[in-house]
Amino acid sequence: MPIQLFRIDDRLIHGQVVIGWVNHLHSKEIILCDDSVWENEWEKELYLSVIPETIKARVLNTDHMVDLLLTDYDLSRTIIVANSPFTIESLIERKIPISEINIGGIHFKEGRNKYLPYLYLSEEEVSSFRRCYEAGVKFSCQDMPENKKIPLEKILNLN
Amino acid sequence: MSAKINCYLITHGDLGEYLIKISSNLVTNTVPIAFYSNKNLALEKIEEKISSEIASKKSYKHLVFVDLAGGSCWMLANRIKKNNDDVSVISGVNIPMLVSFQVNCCRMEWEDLLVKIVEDGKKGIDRR
Repeated sequence: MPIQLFRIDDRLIHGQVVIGWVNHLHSKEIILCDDSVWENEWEKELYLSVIPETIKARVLNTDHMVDLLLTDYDLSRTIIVANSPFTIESLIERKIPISEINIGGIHFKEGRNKYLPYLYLSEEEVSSFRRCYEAGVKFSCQDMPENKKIPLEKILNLN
Repeated sequence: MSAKINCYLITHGDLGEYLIKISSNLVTNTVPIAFYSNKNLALEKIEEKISSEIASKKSYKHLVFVDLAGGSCWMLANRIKKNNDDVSVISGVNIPMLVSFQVNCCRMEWEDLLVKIVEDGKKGIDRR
């Protein structure tokens, strides 16, 4: 079940995803995996309203995402977006094999330290990334397709 | 124009700062525009600041300009607007829009002003 791009971005679906990555990868679908957006009809509509009609899009909660990832649904032209490593952890806990994740952006907020211009992490987030890494997930930081891919283990000294 | 107006501009990076600078070279600012960049502040902080400003000015109309429909600034502006009819969001901000806002904000009714700003913004896009 190869996924075209599994991205962590705390801004979820926005210009970098819809304009940058979709055009670069010629994606056909975007799935937003987020429990709180899934519960809120207004937020759901807002996120889906920004996606061009040519792209299929939907919001799933983590349970539904697990169900989908356990099927043989073709995700080879799909971008999945989640907002934090905690979502990834929760997928791993449910025995979903995830090999590679793109970190597109976790932005400045009080309590977070700067690692890259688009990557600020709290201690809890660093620990979560560490647990995912130890479970075998490879993370690479890359906000836009034309920018350099930076392995997270280099930044957080995960080795 | 009966309503008092508050105006905000939220953009990626420094774009908004320059738009305000350039438009204020063309026309005198009748209403100050409060600029917020997603570069300097967390989106939650911007939302908190603008929402508290809005809450403290109940008799005002509030206009939020943003650069890109669908971008994170636009998402944020829509969250601020949610359930508040006194807040309007205009995306795709350009210099003609800011000039139009300053020229017309004291002489037009609120709804007409919003229509005029969008029209003038579109007029500023030309192909020959």
